[in-house]
Amino acid sequence: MKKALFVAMAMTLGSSLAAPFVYPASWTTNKPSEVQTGGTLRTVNLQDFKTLNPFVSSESPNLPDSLTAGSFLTQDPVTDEFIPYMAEKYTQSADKRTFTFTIRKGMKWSDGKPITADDWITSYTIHSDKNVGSNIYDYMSINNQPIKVTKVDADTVRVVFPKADVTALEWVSGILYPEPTHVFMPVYKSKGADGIKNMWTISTDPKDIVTSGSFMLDRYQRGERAILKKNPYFGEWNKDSAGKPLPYLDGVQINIVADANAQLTQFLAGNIDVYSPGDRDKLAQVKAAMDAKKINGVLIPNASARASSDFVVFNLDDSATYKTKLFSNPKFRQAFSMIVNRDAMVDLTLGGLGAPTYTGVYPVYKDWVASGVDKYKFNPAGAIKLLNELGFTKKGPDGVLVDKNGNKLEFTLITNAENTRRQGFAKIIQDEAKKIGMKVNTSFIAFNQMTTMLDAKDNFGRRNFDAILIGLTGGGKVFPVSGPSVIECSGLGEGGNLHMFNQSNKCRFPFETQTINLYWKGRAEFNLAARKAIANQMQKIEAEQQPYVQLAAQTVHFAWTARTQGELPRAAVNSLNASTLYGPRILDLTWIKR
Amino acid sequence: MLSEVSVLPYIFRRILQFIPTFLLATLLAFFIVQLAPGDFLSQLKENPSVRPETVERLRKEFGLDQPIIVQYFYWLKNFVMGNLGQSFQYKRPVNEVLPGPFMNSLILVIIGTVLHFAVSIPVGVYSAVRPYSTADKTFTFLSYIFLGIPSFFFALLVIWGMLKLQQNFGWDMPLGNKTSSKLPTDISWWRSAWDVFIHALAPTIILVLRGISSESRFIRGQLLEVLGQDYVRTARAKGVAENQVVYKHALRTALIPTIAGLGGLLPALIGGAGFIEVVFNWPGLTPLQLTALGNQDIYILQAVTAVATLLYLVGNLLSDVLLSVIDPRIRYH
Repeated sequence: MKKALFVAMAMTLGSSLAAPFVYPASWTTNKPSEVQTGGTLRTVNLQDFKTLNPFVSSESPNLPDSLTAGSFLTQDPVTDEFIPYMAEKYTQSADKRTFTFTIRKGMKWSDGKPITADDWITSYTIHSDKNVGSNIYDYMSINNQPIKVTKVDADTVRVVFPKADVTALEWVSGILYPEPTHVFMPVYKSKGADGIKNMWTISTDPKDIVTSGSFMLDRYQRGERAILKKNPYFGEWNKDSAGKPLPYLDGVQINIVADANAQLTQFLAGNIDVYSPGDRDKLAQVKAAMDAKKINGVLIPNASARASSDFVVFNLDDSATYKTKLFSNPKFRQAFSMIVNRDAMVDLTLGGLGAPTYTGVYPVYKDWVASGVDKYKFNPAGAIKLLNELGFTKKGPDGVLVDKNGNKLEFTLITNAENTRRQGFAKIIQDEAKKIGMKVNTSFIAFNQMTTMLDAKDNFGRRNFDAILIGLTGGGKVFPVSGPSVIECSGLGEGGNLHMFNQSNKCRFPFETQTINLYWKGRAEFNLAARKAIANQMQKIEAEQQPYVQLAAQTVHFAWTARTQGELPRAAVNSLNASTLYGPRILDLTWIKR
Repeated sequence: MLSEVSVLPYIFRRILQFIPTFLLATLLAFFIVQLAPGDFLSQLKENPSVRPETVERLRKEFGLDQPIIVQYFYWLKNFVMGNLGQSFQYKRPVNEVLPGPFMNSLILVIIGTVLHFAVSIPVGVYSAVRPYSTADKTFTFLSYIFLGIPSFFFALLVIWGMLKLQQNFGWDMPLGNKTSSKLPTDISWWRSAWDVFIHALAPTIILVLRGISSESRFIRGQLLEVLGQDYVRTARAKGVAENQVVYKHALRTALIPTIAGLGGLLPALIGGAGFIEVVFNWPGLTPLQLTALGNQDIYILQAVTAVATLLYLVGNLLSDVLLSVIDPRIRYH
């Protein structure tokens, strides 16, 4: 009886007391007692923001994201675990497909109205409307099967995925954000998709913009800056580890500086607080200014590799010609990988600010990169041996290897003219190839022309190129291997997919099918260790087959003024945890030292 | 003087001639922009999470699936009705996107134009009245320097200088942008106008230095030539004061080509201040056009081109009419 009473009491307490979300102390380098509240963080963005409408926004970074609190779960930047945020708690069904979230009590919009289950339904409904043209419309289904979001009661939302899928965790934390029903639904009901598209343009009165996040828009000066001010209701349900309401800052100023050199000038002049030097020249200038005490601040060079890489992809559409037959032989691609001098690329082209890459899992995911993937690292002698096995045993008078049929070992490597880094990589490949008798002609063309060459031809005929040097940027933190659009080999649309080495719409090699099967197995695996094991298998195949010969990734550098405090602990400072606008820190825990 | 009877049909004829010129110019611009491989949606294709069907749907929505000539006539029809089309990046009508940057560019262009004439006429006159004096030689020397240095490079030098001043002396320099980021948001209108003016000063001065250099040399030459003519000698002979001779008799004639060039200022109004805007991070038309170009946001480019073409045509006509008003020797047929 006593026990039952206690349980009943606990339950009433639980529902009547709104429990705030407490930011773990591990998310900042500072103790709550050191923190001074107030002040404005000054940051910078490379382009004018185009809209305030979360349903229309397609740029990155964008303002709607900066003004939103988040969603049901959030990912701990230090442990990478997903923890309940706007949901107080959640359950996952035995088949892993259904998530049931209990909404945290006491959450409010910036106009004081409560955030309820309806706000997720509103967001889901409008984002799923094809006519709205939302940027995340494609995320509302997996393989053409819709993800279903339903309201169970005022405090409970259920999300059902078409199959067990680990990216669901990312979806419920970083894709579907709640949007204010009382603002959007009346318009959507009366005017439909067009009504929504005309709302919240960049010139809308900031008073009409309702946000869930720590800041709200104070005003937007087009082409100049966005001025954000503290959302007074956010602190009611977001506290630091000592129970102080968040955010610490009074405001944020996002200056629009459209030119990378002008951004550097602003940082060197002390006009902005956070900055990420994009290349070695800018890094050197920031370092020189700090060494000369012109600016007082912190610089972390080579904080981590970027979640992106450049690679060479060969045309493996068929084996009908001498060249495509050669490219289709894994031995040739292994030999090619062994003439890629990745260390020289890092030293010469990237000025030492980079890391060699061997698989589609970029070096920044250091817990995920499999061991032994550098089997075909730079090794010209090994390359010659493999080429000999392929029949290229003697050199012609011009120093180029020929096989017994007189075919020259010669092909054209294309990359885009706008990108000096890729051109540098191509030159290094060309030089090393020449040394062993492989003739690589380079050709630099417009980016769009290059992607048109990569796209599938009508009826999936053979595309017209030998090899292309291009790059991709990486995905999330849940399963950071190449995604389905990169590895699916059949059922392709004509153009638009990224299965770059083979656009014949047929799976030509066993490894293609193996990779896809492993990928979907990994997506369904909620156990982290098991998922990593699958990623390892995928990388072993990739390293052996070399469908994309990976080159090198650039590193990131972070700088901030001494007054800017509350950054992430050094171990968590990397390109994945850093925001483009605010650097390696959680905005709500950032504070200004005076 | 020109009679109204002859100028009205002339103007009418000229306006009729606008039509083929305008059509050809805009058609050419439309084709050239579309000649570049790919379109606004090409960049979406590199995003692994965007489905090909979505790209196709957007292509239809933006009308990019139509043949270029059909797209052009759609655009033309809308243009005539005052609709400049839709910006792909902003997902808003171009009519809404353009005015802000246009007004910002106008600030630079207006201050620049005033500065241009306020400096080049006095300098030109002074140099002509006292040719080969030390001051004239100095002006000539400076003119060559300012004409020789490309303005974007000069702008970089100025920014570097201002940065050093701010770093070493802690002075708050207007280092680019249109307004200071340090001012509070609730300041009086004249304080913010002054702030904009301060920020506009460096870019406009650099912008007009080249113009001033060539214009003042030009006025000097013109005035020198006029001052040597018979009627000036006659005026001096009958005892007209030297000031009167220079400003009333000679300068009026010497300025005819300058005034005739005024019409050319009209297209410059929308042309913006060029790369100076980029270097100084001024939110004008050039940065807008550059991002539009990079993203193949064709209707922004097309709107700027079309309006500039129109202004150019009107400006030319205006020049010709102005010329006939101030120079009685010119007649139209």
